[in-house]
Amino acid sequence: MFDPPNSPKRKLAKDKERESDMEFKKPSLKRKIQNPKDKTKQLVRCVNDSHGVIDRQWLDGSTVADTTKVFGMAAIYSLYIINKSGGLIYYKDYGSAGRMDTNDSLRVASLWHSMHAISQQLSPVSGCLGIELLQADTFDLHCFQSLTGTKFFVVCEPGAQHMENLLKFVYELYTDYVLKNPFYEMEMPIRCELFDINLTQAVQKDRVAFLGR
Amino acid sequence: MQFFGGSEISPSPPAPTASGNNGHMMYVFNRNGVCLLYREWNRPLRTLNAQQDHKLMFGLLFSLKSLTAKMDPTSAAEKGNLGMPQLPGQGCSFHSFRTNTYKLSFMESPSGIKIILVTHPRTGDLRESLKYIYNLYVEYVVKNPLYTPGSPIRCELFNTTLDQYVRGIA
Repeated sequence: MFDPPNSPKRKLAKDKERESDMEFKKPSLKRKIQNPKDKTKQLVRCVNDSHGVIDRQWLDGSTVADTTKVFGMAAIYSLYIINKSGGLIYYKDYGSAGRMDTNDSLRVASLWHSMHAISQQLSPVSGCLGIELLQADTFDLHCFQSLTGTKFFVVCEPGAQHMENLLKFVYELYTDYVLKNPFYEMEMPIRCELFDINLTQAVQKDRVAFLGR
Repeated sequence: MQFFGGSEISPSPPAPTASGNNGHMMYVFNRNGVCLLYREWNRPLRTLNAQQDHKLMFGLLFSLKSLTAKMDPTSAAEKGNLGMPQLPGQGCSFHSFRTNTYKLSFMESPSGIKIILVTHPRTGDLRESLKYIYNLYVEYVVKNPLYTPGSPIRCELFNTTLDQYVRGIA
């Protein structure tokens, strides 16, 4: 993506996030998703935008996110991805009250990384792999750790079901759209448009199912 | 390793037996972080010495509580910085967490007494049981005239009743 010509070069991280949120609403992108008239043009533009990662299924309109039907109905508050050393590489808020700023989300993510490690030390039985579910008074936190140590965790309503499936699906998206992206540097913050789009789709489907209940 | 085949990834211990005896251990801390009581029923793995273990447990609970207080997605009120000291009952707390090998249930009384029960991962909601254990503490420890508040609990009657009760629930 290129910045508008009159934008200041350095921006606060907060503004940058807001900008990335706005990218979804850009008319050009919307047209691209909703208007499947000329597929060649779509394909070419998609290649340019996402640095080479194409998903044909998605371009045809039959989305990858169809699998979200099995995730059940639940409101998700936010999603975090942290790398194996505890650094936050992806944070997305889906409408929780009192959104955290960038610094706080970084702190919370690295604190979770440490708590996850300490919980393994305190296990009364060997073979502990860390916290899978934290039940707080007003939310549930589900965590999934991949074999390479990347942790995915989602903050959702208390009692939400099938969050393990959602996290595994996010992991699948991560491997497809982030790790296979040749311009992505390992352990660095995720800035991949196709990942964003597919993730939003998956989570929105979840939410639509929840609201229509 | 099979990730999406629907099989369990994490090896978990065998399912709880019907006869009970699924409680691993229990901690009671006061509001200053002093371990008043440590009971152990079934703990094959010990990585640290007792004192270090208690400190680590208290630290874990303290930090998890500041994490949940900061994360609380339902209140828009200003929550202060991460790690701001919270009074008991203030801010969003948590009542349990689960790993593949154990489940930890947590309760904090308004006076800052923390009761922690570690059980098999597949035990259900233990909030009521922890309240009952708190009642036992009040009856057998607080009402004991020989007990000085803030010192480790050495009440035979409390220990036996507790052992019996935990064997019954977990």
